[in-house]
Amino acid sequence: MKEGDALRDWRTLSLVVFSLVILIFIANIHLEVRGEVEEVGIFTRFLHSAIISFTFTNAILCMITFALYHKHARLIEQALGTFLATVLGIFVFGLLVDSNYTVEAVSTDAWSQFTMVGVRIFVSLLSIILAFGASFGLLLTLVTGRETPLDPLLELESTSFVDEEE
Amino acid sequence: MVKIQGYTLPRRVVQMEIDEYLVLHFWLPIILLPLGVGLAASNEKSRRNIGLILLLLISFSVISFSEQLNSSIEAWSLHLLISIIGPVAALLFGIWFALFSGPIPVSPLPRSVRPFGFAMMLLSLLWFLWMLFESRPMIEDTANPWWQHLVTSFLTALVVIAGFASAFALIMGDERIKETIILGILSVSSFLILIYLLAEGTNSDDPVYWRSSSWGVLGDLSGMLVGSGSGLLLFIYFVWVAEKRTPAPEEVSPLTESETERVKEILKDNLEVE
Repeated sequence: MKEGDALRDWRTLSLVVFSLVILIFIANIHLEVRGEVEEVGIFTRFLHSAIISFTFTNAILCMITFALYHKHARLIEQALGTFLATVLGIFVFGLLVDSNYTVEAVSTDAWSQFTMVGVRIFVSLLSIILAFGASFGLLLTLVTGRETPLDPLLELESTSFVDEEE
Repeated sequence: MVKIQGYTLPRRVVQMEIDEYLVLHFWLPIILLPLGVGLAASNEKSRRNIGLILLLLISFSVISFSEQLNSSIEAWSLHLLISIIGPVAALLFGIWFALFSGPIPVSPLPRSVRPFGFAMMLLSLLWFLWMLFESRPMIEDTANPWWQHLVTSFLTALVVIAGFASAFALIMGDERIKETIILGILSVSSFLILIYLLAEGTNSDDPVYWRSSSWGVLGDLSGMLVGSGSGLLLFIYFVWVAEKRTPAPEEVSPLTESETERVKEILKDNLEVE
């Protein structure tokens, strides 16, 4: 396969994903216009989710860097960098809550806001893992189910080169 | 009383302060899980043992959660996890049985098990649909407030991921039309179920709650994509900076006379034809 072909294929796949995401947004907007819907504060939820996800991702990478530390690892850049990014995420989240950008249905203190968004992310992550497992598990099962003729090389007998030399 | 995703819950459930019990039995295990997994995956035996002990402590801490599962939003999420164990286990066992009873050389199971694997996967799907339309997870007549969030996130993610897998099989695979069609059906049917929920709802939930949940989930999922994506990009940048700052290796001093002699001996032993 040429390099240009791979690039074209991945571009097509990205386009498929992008189209599906747009389709879901259109379906939601259309149905929201048609029917009654509660105020969910989608922009605030997006902001909170983005900042907490950023913080969690950096915290996870920081811990894994420490856990898999070896003598050639670059602790200063990787561990310190991810640690500082985690602290920055917590700081920005605190600022956001102080500025009254808060999600609904919970108290407006930082801990309550954090727990609500944290559990939402936990449940969303669980559903994403399930969707990945179901889709790619099924794909793997189907792909490996095809019967293929045996490789003729497997039927060849091995030859001892040592004996030949002697 | 406060409303979360269409459900009215006692205020004590949602008005939270820092609860030490929840920190110890929910948040700390979640936060320490990556450290435990990282240590358990290490090459060093001592670190691996520490990781396994940490993972055991994490499991024990979550399992020993003794509060009522409707006492807080964290507890409700654990209740949700317990509620879906059945269909998830059926799916995983189904994939395992169907995968390893196919024509593969690695740890093959008897071929007769393969239909049973697909039956387990079908059972998982039917179980999920039964929970969705007939038996929503609940405790003492109070429905689990995270159920709608899980379902709408799952269906939204399944539309995109199964759609991607279908296109992937078609573009990257060799004559994978059957696989493409099956995954395409999975993606389209997930989309249709989602639309049905938004338009008609279920026996237990009005469509307005499904719409609100789905709309909110789009904000959460987009935020997760942007937040975790930028976190990963930042990490890649840190690695790149570390590589750039790594000094060039020092020059190696030339071989001494004795070393040169030794190298010559080895070359002579190995290259000379008798």
